Amino acid sequence: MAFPDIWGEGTALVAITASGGSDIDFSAVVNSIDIDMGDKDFDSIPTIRGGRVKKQTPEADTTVTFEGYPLDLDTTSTDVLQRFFTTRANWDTSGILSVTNAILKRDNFRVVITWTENTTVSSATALVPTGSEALRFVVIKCQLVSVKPSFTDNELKFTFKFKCAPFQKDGTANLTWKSSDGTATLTAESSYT
Amino acid sequence: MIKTEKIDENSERITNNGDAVMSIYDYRGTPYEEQIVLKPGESAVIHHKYIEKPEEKKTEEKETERNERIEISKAERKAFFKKKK
Repeated sequence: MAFPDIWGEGTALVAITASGGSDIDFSAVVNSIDIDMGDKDFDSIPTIRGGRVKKQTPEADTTVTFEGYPLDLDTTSTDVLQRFFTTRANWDTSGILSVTNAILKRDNFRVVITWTENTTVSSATALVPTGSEALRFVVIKCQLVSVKPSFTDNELKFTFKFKCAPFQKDGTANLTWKSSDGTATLTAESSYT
Repeated sequence: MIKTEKIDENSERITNNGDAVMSIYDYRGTPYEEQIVLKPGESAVIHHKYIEKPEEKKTEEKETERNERIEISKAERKAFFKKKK
């Protein structure tokens, strides 16, 4: 088995999960993904003799930005507005759906992006079987920090951004990359609580 | 939209009536947790708690029943050896 030359069209899957909720696949509405991983930078401090000492700066926050075409406020589908304005405990799920920005609390989200050429894999969080190569990016404890709708060129497009710190309060990492060369199963992700 | 039908205290049927693929979890949060991928239109039953089946109690064979069983076997053996002769 061999990896493709690049992960191109038709290979990406995106699943977004609110804490305690189900994984919702956004692949059918997203047309671009931008992962701005936080820099691990340093400052160099000149010493009196002309040398330099390196001072590490803390790893910066990571943002994942999507552009896509969500259509409504259905949180069992690809809604971004309810996810942005309110929390899972307050989602409107029946009848005429509506949301206001009245809730001050903010949900945490998990974002999972998987690249694979196996077309039987239907969710970014699902198992990728032996025989299929895959690359997966998992980021937890994200907040949905920005949603920008725009209607230009006769299309309603949403640009929405998730942001997370590199570590949690206790130092646990929030970002994980995984890859499989097909010789082993890339296991399904656990539920996000 | 998602449709939820309660089956009993520990289980419910989830139907994905929306247009996006969703993943739910059977026995969510337990060591027996298993992911179920629901495409639009599909449904599955999920359980909340894992309830162990109680062990079947072994009933002790009564003395008289045991004797009867042995007696029957002895009788069968006698008949068998008689036939052979």
